[in-house]
Amino acid sequence: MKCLAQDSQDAALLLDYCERRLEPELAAQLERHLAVCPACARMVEAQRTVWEALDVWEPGAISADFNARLYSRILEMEAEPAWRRWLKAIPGWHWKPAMPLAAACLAILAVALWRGPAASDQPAGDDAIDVEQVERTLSDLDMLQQLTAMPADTSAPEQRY
Amino acid sequence: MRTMWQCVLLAVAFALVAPGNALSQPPAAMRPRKGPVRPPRGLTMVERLNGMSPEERQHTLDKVPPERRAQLERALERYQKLSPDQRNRLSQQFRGFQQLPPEQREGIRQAFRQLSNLAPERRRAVRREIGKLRGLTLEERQERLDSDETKQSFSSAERVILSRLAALPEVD
Repeated sequence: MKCLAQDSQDAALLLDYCERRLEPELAAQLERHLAVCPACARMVEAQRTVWEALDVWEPGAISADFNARLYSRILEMEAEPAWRRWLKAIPGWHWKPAMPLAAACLAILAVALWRGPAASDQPAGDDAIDVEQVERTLSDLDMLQQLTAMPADTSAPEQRY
Repeated sequence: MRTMWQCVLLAVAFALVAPGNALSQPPAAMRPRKGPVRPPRGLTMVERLNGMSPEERQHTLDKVPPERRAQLERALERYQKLSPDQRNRLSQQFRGFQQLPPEQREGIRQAFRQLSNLAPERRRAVRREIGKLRGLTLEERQERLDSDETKQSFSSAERVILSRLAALPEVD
């Protein structure tokens, strides 16, 4: 006998065995297989554990107004807001496909809001020092300093700052 | 589910109406500038280098060839030696210079290089004349430049230098 746990249809046989619904002959054949197949034996053991747990489980007592609250909740859900009814009226509208889009929108918004104030007046790359521009500026400053140090009608010696 | 949709709608509404966020304002380039005018970028970078510790500056200029870096350091040192008043005045002068058309700026740079290449006595004469011209009004300056006295005292190349360098904007 091949391993029953590998196939879903054959696995149904194992479930029937756990529920004691198999013919005695088939059950005996299965028991012989269980003795040599650890996979099937594990599945039967797990199934039995579940059944035993269900046997001892007792449902908790419900509150006295459970039914009233349940029906009130159902009525509330039936009285949906208009926008939800409109959304449902759109052919092909389903909220599940919209979820990734909504998540993407939120992510974009988060990034835009986060980066907004930082990207105000400072152009990108403002922090970098452009050596050529510094040299040019210093050279211009040097020149301007010398030119502005030329007082009117004087024979003052040349000065370099 | 309802909570999630409410969150999404709230986020969209906030993004559209909240003041100071990225979506409620036009791009920075389209916004009118508020507050004081920012100094020219080159001057900002010079000030930044000037404010750095020697280690920071060395790190920043790490990739600059040694000779060029030494030259830059010397220029920075000269700038550092200026008093705050001198620096402020020079900064205003630089702003005025930056507002000139690029070709006029280049003309002034070229004239300054030519002035530096003159013989010492001619350089002194031209410098003195520039000082005189800068004290005149535009019309008076032009009149003096066109005068026979100037033509006799200065060559045509020197007069070009005088004309270009005397036109440098004054600082109030």
